[in-house]
Amino acid sequence: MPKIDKELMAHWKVQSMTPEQEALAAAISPIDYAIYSNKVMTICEEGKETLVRLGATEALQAGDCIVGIYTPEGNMACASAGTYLHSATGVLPLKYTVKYFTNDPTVGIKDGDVFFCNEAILGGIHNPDNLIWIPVFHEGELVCFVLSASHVGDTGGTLPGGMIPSAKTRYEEGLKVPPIKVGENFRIKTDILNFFNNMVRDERGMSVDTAGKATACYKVRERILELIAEKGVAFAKGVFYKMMMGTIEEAKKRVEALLDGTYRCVIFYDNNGVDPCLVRIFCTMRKKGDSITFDFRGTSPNLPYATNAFPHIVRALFASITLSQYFFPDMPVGAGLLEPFDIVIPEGTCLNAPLESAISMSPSIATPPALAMQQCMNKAMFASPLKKCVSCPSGGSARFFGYGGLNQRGMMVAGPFPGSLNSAGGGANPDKDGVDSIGFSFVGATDSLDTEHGELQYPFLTLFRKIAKDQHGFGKYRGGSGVSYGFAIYGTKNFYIVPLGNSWVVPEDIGLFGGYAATVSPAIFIPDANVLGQIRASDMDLPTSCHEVLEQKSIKGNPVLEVQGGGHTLPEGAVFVITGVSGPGYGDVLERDPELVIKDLRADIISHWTAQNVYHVAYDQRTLQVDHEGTELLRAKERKNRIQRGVPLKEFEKEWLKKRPPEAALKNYGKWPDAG
Amino acid sequence: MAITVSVDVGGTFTDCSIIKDQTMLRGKAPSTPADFSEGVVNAIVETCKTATLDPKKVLNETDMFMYATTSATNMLVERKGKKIGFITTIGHEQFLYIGRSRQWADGLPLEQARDVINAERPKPIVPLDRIRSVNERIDSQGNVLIPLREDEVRVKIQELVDMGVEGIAVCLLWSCSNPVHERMIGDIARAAFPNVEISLSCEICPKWHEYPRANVTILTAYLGPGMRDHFGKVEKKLQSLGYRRPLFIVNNAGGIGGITHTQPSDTCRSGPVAGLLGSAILGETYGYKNIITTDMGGTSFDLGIILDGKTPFYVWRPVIDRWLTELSMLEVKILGAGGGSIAWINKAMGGRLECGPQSAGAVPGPACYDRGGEEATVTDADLVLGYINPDYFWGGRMKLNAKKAVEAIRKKVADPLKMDLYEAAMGIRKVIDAKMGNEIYKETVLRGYDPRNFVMFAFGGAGPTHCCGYNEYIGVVGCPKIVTFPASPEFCALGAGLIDASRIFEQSRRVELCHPVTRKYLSDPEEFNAVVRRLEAQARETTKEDGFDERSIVFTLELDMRFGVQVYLTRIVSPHMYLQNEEDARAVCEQFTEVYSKKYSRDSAQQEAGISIENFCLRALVRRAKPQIPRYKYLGENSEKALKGVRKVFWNSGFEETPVYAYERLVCGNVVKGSAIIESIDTTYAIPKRMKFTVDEFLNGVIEKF
Repeated sequence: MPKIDKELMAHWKVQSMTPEQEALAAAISPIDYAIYSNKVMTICEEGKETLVRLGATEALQAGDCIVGIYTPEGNMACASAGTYLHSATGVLPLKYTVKYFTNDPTVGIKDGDVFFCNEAILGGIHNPDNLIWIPVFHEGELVCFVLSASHVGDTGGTLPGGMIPSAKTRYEEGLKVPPIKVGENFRIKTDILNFFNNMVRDERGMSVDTAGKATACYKVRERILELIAEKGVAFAKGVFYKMMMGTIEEAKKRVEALLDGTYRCVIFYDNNGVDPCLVRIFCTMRKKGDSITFDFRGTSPNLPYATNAFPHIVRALFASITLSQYFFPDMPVGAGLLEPFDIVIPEGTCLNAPLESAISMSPSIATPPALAMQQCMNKAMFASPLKKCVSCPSGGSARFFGYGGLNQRGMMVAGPFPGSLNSAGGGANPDKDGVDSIGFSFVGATDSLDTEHGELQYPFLTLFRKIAKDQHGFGKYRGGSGVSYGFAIYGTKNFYIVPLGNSWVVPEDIGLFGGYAATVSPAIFIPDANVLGQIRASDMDLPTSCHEVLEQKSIKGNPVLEVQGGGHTLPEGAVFVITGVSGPGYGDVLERDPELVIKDLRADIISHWTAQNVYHVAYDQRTLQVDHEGTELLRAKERKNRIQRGVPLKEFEKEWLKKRPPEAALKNYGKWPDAG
Repeated sequence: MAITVSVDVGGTFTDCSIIKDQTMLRGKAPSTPADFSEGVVNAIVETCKTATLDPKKVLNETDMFMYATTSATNMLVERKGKKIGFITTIGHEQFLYIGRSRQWADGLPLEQARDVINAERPKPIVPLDRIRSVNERIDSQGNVLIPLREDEVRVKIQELVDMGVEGIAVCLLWSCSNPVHERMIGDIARAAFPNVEISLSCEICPKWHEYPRANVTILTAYLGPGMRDHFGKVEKKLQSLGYRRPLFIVNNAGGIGGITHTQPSDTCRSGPVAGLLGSAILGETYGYKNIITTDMGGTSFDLGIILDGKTPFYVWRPVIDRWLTELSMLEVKILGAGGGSIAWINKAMGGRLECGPQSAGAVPGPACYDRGGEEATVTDADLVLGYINPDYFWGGRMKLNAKKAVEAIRKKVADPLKMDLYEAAMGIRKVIDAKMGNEIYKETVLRGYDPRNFVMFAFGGAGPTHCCGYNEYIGVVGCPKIVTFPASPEFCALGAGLIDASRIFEQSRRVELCHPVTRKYLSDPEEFNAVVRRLEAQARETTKEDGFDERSIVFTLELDMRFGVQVYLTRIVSPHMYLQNEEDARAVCEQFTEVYSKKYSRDSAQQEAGISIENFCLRALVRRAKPQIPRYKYLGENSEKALKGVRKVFWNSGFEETPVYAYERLVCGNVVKGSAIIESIDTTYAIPKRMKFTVDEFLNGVIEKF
């Protein structure tokens, strides 16, 4: 267990700036600021582009990375990020470095030093997140730090892929390195890199990615020194501080524009890492003036497996899902983004777990709180000048899979597969549908890669890749649909696949103002299938969707439905199907334009059942022509039915509060009903 | 020497250049979108007028007619292509719609690509109901798992034809590794429906990754007939006027080809690429090998890099309109910065002054155009500061309204930022110059090239007005020399006339050159050589069909390579076209490691992770004789004869009485020392203090420090 500093963990904000720092910022003229803040951002972008171009793992390619400049105190001045997740992850290890290594003669901080960390207690959101940083000195003065971070493929835990849902303690999750000096004179030490490589399954990915992160840091350092040569060290520092101050001011202004009040949202998470069960995430948002507090009292206790988080992880997810994409999409990545927000999470809950807890699935459990925070923000924004920012979050939860084993060329590969993760459906807006397969909710625009890319790298034959049907949240405007993938194992004898993520049996991507939640979808395994044998014998029509796999049963074998943690070692020819999450809907389904319903039917995104029973549209099933008058009649009837089904609140509560889920579902819930 | 005629067809004007003996003529005429051939002929006629030549005689003596146009992109943006269908592998009918997910952001500027709330997918070229799948499957090694059935193919093609399609694009999984199924579909369709355009991905773009491959295939089917019609009309019109050879189309990879060998997607950036290549060739004549080409117009700033006389950079993730491709496209960066760029206040950045990428365009244009524009633009700032003469804009053909420019800058920038009018105008000028300088910084310094070793070429209507400014913002130091050209607006057309005949032939194939576990180098080179042999045969045949001597082809083999499991590839020039033994394979690996280390860092080259080739790219080049550029006699430094007056111009420290010169009166050897303004019909040259403008022996203007 590394040295823990709870005070440091709590003080992640910029706090205050010294008069000297303020003076440096004030000395930058508006025109110089316009010119050189752009230049500094260009420098960060170059760093990130370098990292992406040099990197190996798909998560990095999907944007799970950042390259940023931090002040000597460890606050982020600016960065270029794929996901803003890491806007909150670099601060802790840097502050730790400054506090504990500056005066430690056995470590110290010198020009040319290279530091590393993948310990989530002190940085990153779980140990696949590897961070590298270097100090930048000018004539002996520490000017800033440069940090780069990305998600790597494997950590050497008890299961391949770095995310180990069944881990019960942190000691089953593989390599966990607290801040450590890994290089001097701008070179990573070979012995230390050998040690890291030795600890993980994907040695090639680890070495290529680590080298890429260090190179990105060196590049940014070089440019900062050029800037100093051009304009002087005080100027460079002044620009960094001014950028930080600029984002703080704007963030506070925007928060101030929201309607003061208390907003609430509850979301249920559906597994403990291994078994299906209910976990309660309860968020109360209090907004006053230019600050907001999110209070998570009423959230379930910490969980027995790896679906636990720490407060800084919740903060990171909030930054990546809500702030960067919906509230501050036009603002640069910087420490200021999070400045107006405080988060209260009681110790001992799954979001503020004991430090010994396994946490490699933290992104999964920290997503529902971020979704709840966004839904609270949506309500506050709706009644404010920021109404244009209201949007259901893109399929915020995630359904994907980890893999590990020898590929078709006999090379060891391990990691999370990006396909379904990076092709989630977008959330609906107050004025339009969500985009199908928009990307990864933590990032925005992400690359879910081609089928040919996957088949070249991994021992898969992709049977189908299709926009999922009836999966999105219905509504006046529907959510975007995710993508359904069907694979057969091909070219290897045994390959391990484990479903990861959430929304398998309980929907977490809830709708807004009457819109439906996105639908759930468990993973399907057919371990005893022999697809290749069937193909060779011309004994099948290839299935083109998960519905066909289950309903037409063209693949011989016994399907098994699984949720997170239900891993299988599959032989060649075995089949598995995973459907990525979709976006939630907005507004009442009865207000949806019938023509849009027909458009969805034509695109095979909804079924006739949905068109008729959810949207209540009358149409000719053969020609798909809408009968508008008939539709109005059906909808009027449904409105009447709704009124008939309705009961007064007290009456409803009387019945509702008698209900209780089965005990098995409540085993990790806490005290029913409030989880306290 | 024979005559070379070249034209660059733009949205507004068709520019023409005629190179005859030692003479280069230039001219232009309005473009005629209804029938581009009319504008082309008009431009030739206008150009011939400048030297009282007979256009028919010129065309009759013309050896090569080069044609650059971006009209394929326009046709695509306006969705004016043919009605087409698409055939793919069963189970993968929707991959065009999934579009690697990030399709919605492809081709958008960064700010819009981050705007998830307003994300929209581009309107599909092929609607879902015109997509058909066939029950077939080939694996990544090219093995046939499920054979394609002829009867099924016939049914699917018939269904599409019955829907009225005029073209069918076909992209099956792994057709780049084994084209047998695609070819079967092609044979059946072409035999049954000879009037339907059939576009096979294995023929158009045999590279891995089905989404970008399918996009190129679809663009070919969608735009092919229209573009062939366009080219055919031009060729026919030229031949009716006496031209006796084929029309040669400039392509994105920096070469030319006949109509039959040019796909529409090959031409989408042909104008800027022609400008870049023309710069490289002219640079050689002028004695410059490292050149930064800059073209600042009304709405955009184009930037290209020439290194050691070559154009080695290709676009990373090339996107045509909103469609990702994997074409080899020479890199010309296009930035939203020009005379029409709008100044605005960025509240998200604490009230930071910004310029562009939004542009006032030509209509309504900058406020000073007095056509209803109310935004403050760069041109307005240039006018307020005295750089532009309101009575001599476009040679006096357009009067500018200075009062409107003042109002716009005061209202949109000065008042909100609590600045003085001139401080605000100077701020706009500095911000736009810094933005362009920053882009040059990215493309040179950030790639490891020192701008001090480069010469800058500045063209475009606003280039000479701003080049000293953006040169200043490149970094610690800018380029020591800036060269401006009298033919600035027609530079791309001129460039097209100078291009060598060259084409690129590509094929994806993974060849493991250095094994990650054994660390051994490829010992059997046949795997490598077979691919190159195939590409070479293709290159020879195409070159011959285009009318060039295949014996004079110069080949260059480029390879896209990577370490271990990297996703992105790095392109190198192979030291060997064919491999003889393990030593040759080692040499290719060493070349890759060297290029990679130089580009990134020594630490980043991870040879122990293994090295593989992913794409082969063979460039076939037939050199053409270059024209002799006329040289002029030195007539002395004194430029007094060109002095036309004095006016107040706001330089860094405030307004100064500044001499104004007439460009047309300057002769070879004349020197104009800054601060000075030089006015020509096309543009205004701003020469700051401690800089001088010298007319060189080619009548180019050279700006440098003194």
